[in-house]
Amino acid sequence: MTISKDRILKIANLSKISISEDQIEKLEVEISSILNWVETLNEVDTENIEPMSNSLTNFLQMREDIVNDGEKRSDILSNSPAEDESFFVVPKVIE
Amino acid sequence: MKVSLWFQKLLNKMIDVRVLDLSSIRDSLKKGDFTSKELVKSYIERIEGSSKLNTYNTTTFEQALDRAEISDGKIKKNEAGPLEGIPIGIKDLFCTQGVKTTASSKILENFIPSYESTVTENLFKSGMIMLGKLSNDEFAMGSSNETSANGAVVNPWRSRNSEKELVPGGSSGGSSAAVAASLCPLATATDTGGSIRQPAAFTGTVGLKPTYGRCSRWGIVAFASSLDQAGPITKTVRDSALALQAMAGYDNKDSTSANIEVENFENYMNSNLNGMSIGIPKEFEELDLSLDIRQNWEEAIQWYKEAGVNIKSINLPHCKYALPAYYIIAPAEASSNLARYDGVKYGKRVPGEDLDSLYKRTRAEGFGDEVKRRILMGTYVLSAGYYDAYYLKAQKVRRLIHEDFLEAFKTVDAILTPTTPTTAFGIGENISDPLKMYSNDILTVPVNLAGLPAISIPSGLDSSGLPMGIQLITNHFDEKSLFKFGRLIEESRVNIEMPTDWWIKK
Repeated sequence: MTISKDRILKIANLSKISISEDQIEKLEVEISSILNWVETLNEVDTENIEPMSNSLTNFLQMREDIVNDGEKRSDILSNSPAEDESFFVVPKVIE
Repeated sequence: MKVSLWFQKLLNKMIDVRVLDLSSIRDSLKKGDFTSKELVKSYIERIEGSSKLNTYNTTTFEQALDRAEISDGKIKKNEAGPLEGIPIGIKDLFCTQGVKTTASSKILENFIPSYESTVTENLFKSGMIMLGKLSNDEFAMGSSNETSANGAVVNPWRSRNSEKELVPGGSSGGSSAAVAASLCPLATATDTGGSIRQPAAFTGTVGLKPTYGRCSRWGIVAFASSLDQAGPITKTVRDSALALQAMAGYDNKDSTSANIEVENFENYMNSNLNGMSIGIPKEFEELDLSLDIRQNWEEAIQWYKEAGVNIKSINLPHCKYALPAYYIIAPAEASSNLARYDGVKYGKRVPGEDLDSLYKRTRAEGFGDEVKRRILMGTYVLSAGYYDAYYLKAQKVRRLIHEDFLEAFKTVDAILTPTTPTTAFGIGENISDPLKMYSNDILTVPVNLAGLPAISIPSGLDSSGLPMGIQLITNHFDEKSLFKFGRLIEESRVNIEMPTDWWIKK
């Protein structure tokens, strides 16, 4: 399995990472070789096998749906690259 | 010269930290052989002379000295915690309140957490004192510590008669190098596919990856949430037991934290192994291992036989698929976890004419090549039309690997393998070949997929004088058996001298 240049550009867009022309070619080669390699998984018969997302799902803890934290506005904003009083600032989104 | 230096050290009460380990420090502080402040000062001096190894991203010496005074007071008043006054290095992946936490990435170069990770909080509550934050591969993605935005970390070990600089392994390379060079007696680390055990093997240190769920992941910068687990790197098995006890415990802030008793693991140091059993996986024997490592593995099997342990050949038929399954699952989880770095809420921002270009530029400049490749790979295997063929397939293979181990533990108490296929390699040697780099983790990755505990223990030196590590794997939450079995390696191996101090600035 090889990955096309178009596909690289598409996933870069989905990943919100801008990539340059020379990076595209390098990524094409690297990701294609990784994809070829992971293809060995097709040798495994996985008919009727449940996918496993976590080794210890029986430990997933539930708790009461109640507020147990808050009043952290200044903490939350303390690392913001740009803020205005109590808001994160971003370029204009709606004209 | 030597005598006057020795005399000067005596006057300054400088302690030779090279000969100390966590448990001996604990005992000495209790007896009053030296104070915590003298100890912290001695580590600071050694760290300052070891800048060539590039282990610490950030140091917190002022705070450490203040804390040491408090600890000394507590020791005097008999109010000491179990690890009171002992210095520690923290992997720069653990959020530390008020102290920069970068994950060795440009995108977090100025991030100062307003909260403490549960693991570091537990360690500080037990009395430990942070010396600083240790380098790692960027976002813990790598096996050589070369992907750190702060540059490569240098392994204190070199081949005999060679000045070639070697990698300390990764991703916890700052942690492993710092412990090996006696720049802290204990370092925290994290292991997603081998990131504690492989660097421990490369540096002659003990690296423990606990059971998934044993240590809280809260406040640790996330890489692959279903695989990440925190653990210690130390000089000895006993120290590893002490450290785990301090780090572990149930935490309601992590929904995958296990509510299981934390035992006094130090109780398992002198266990009789007679009649217990160890499995040797056939499939691992077929792997491409260096000759020295293969021989060392056979030696270790012999040590257990002599202790009365039954050695059994076992099958883990799906383990050869662990590495490709891992390189689908881990990047998939990473692409999702790292979506949070958007240049808006915290971290680096590169301005753009609109929001989309702000995101794209920030992430292009903020992430290094390895991280970007994994995000792209993860996005690809999760994207429409590919999800079933890659991600679901890998998760099904994961279940089969998990079942292989559960089947094996019906007949054996532990599994014994080497930790790595080779000893430490040169800086720059494998960085341009991702698949070659990934193959470093071939013996460690299956353990993460199954969520099992495992430990790497120094088991000898190869023919060029570099440390080798042996890996023990046990069933879920059976860390105590790792310590039981692990001690025998320490008792049986040839004496491993410390690395010479070639890097020390005089």
